[in-house]
Amino acid sequence: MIGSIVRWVHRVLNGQDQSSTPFLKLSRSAVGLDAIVMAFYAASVYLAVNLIPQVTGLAETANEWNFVWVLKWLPKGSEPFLLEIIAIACAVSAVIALVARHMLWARLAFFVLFLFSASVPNSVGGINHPYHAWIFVSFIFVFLPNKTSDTMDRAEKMALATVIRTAQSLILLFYSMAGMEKLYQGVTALAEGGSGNLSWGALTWTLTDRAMQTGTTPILIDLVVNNTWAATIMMWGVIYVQVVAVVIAFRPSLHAVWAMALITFHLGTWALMEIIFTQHILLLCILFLMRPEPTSLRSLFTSLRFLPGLAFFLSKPRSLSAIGDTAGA
Amino acid sequence: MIMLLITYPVLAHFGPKEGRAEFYPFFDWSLFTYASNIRKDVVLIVREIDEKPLAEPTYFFDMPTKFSTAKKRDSAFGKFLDDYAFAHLGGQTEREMYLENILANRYLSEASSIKFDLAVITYDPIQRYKTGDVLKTTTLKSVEISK
Repeated sequence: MIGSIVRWVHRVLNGQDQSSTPFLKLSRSAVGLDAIVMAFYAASVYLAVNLIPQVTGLAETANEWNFVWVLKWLPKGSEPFLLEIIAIACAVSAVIALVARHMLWARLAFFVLFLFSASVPNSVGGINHPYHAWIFVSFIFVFLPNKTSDTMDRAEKMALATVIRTAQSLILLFYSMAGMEKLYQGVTALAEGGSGNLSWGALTWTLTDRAMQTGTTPILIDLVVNNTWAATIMMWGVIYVQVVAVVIAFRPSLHAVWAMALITFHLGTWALMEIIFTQHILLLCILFLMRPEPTSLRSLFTSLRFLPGLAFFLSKPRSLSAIGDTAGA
Repeated sequence: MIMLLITYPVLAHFGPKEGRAEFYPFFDWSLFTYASNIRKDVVLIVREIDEKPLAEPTYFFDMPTKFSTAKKRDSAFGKFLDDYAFAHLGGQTEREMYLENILANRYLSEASSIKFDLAVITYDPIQRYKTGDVLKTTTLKSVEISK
């Protein structure tokens, strides 16, 4: 019975997308997956180096801290010195993790030091979220196999694929959580007879509110505020793309499409709210768009038949074929 | 993998937040979740700086030449204000004083003395964007800080 339930859940999640075969052709895929790991740590070097002046600047100008629990161990008075050391050590550990990514201690050291370093900007008042996803991916990557891809056996290659798939799933879960919060608020507001995310023109309230808080005039804001139909379509589209994102983790055919849709969303939030999640765009590129073979436009379009909630309408119904066969008999 | 996908949202929603907006780093990814044509925001309305009353009470973020935080329009400061107001409204005196200390020594450090109101403004976002008007201002407390 449990096996039947598991198979049913699997069918619902992958929606007849048979490309979910992570454990076939392991030798070929392991090289590609290792490239993803390399790209992650290379990008980590860039982020860690960029954090050095940010952390040092905060440490030198801060006379009061609101440390998150991760940094509460710092001895009072030592913060400027220790935090700068931590930031530099983090950058060094990123380089080491890049060249020695098959070593557990290298990956673990980077995760711990990046957690410390990225927590500094979140210890001066409120908490912003540019680095949260990166922290979790660096944690997940601690569990990579401790071998180079050319020396891994079958089980280790499967482990490599599983770790990458876990990172992909968690990132998409973040988007689903964001989408579900919006959807829940929208449905609740409608049920109560009030205004919410699903209301006509709702996005214009969010955009103008944000513009007032930041004192900015994003490049496309007036265009959208003055055309509420565009704002409405955008909002409904964003909610759909975000809500179903975690399901896409189980439909590899749609990974590239969804990554590009989410990147478009992030570029849109810049054009409309001057909010940019550079780190998320990087992660989407690394985890979902790094493929050995270029993605063709045709394959992008044909993968749309696996869209969650729409696959039923877009897939060729097998029963009609059967009727056609029997009708001719 | 499945355990992580289940554990993360549970910790994000039910983890110990200790007066903060999240159980760091397990964020619930509730970003711009609420859309409404009536919004509220916590603001600082400055009345006096360095013992000199202002010509008129001014929103903190409208003083970029005086305060670097106002110039940067850092969204983390907005979240900090929310925490500060939340501590005040919740009667968490110790946390309120702790945050007020951070406010005075970090965000308002350019002033040797300052009088301000911690307030909640209610507004229609589109109306406020186009005309600057708010519907209502509710003062939570008036604060005077001297260093």
